[in-house]
Amino acid sequence: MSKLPPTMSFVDLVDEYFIENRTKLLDIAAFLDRLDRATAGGTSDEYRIAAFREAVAALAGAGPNRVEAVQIIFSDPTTAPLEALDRKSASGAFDAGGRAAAVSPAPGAEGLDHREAPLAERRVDSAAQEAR
Amino acid sequence: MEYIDLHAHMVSRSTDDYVQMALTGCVAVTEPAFWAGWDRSSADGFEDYFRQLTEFEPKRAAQYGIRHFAWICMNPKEGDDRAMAAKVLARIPKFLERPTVLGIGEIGMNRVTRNEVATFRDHVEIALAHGQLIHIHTPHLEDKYKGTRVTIDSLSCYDVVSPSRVMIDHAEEHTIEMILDAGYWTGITLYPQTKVSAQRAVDMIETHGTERICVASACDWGPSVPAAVSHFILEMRRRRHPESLIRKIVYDNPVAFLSQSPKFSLPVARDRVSALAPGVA
Repeated sequence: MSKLPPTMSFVDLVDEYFIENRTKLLDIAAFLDRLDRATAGGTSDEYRIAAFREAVAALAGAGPNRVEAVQIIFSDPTTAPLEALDRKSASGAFDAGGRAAAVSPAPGAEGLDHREAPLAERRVDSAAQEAR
Repeated sequence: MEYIDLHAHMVSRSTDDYVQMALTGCVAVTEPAFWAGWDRSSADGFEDYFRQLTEFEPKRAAQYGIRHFAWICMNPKEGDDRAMAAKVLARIPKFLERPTVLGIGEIGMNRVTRNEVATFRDHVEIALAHGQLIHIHTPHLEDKYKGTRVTIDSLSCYDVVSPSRVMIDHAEEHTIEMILDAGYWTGITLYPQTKVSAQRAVDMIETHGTERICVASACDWGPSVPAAVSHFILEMRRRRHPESLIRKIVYDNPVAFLSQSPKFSLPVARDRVSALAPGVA
């Protein structure tokens, strides 16, 4: 991997992109204000918005990897496969509390356990599920 | 500029979309097997879909000078159903022999369940047994980081998997490095909301270089843009990158990856002109 040489100066980038990113920032500010109005000035600990607020705080941190930091804030940090399908779609932010309540992996399941089932055993799983 | 959209679910798109893609320079699409938005009720349903991918879509695309190729699999959204997977996987090998099928895909994880991992491995083993290229989906949003890690970890079990014959798609800022470091090809998906904007895609190219990276629209039945690759080209020009570098990403790189299948070829210019303007060529 090799970075590409810079093609635009700091001033070039500001001149080209400032207005559209100012617009995006105002959209985020307006969204947060909208949430405040919906909670009548109170606060909410809803997991997606908690992650969103953490991500907004990360924007004010030091660069240069803010986008990666924000991605990690929203991400599931675990590696153990779920024992069963809980829902079809992602929601946009990892719900650590909800996951802990829904799934309790077997001891030692974290990490490499998903690699170890031989093909024959997976076939047995398949047959058993079909029988049900 | 001519380009190849390496990931487009054209069965979900209208003929007008083929026109827009042709007008913006698309010369070929590859279409991975995908979720219909609802679960199919039988293996026969999957087989009909595979026939649509390999019989109907190549003809529809050819009318606009676009060559159409397919990847066959049971997609990750339905991969948790092991009983259905066993039935569908048994029907896949005969489709691998079809002239426009490039390999197995898009396989992978959705919510990263044990069953999904097992179905993923079954697909990998079919690909290895039949000498096929592999195209891999990585999960959306909060599941992407975990799903990509588990995918790479699962592939590492197979000594015979050649990373140069595997595309791990839908890379984002927090997953692209682990994919490239492991030697795989990767794709950046240009999607209006849940994946990567054209601006972020160019940022990723600027940060990680151009080796083993492709871009695609992944257009499907959801909010998506069939001509998204042309928006990426425009953004690259806005950043003042040279035409040769842009072409490498949208044309040369896909050709390099896909040409590992002997079935991959591109239409000659005369065919494209003839399709877009009958009577001119």
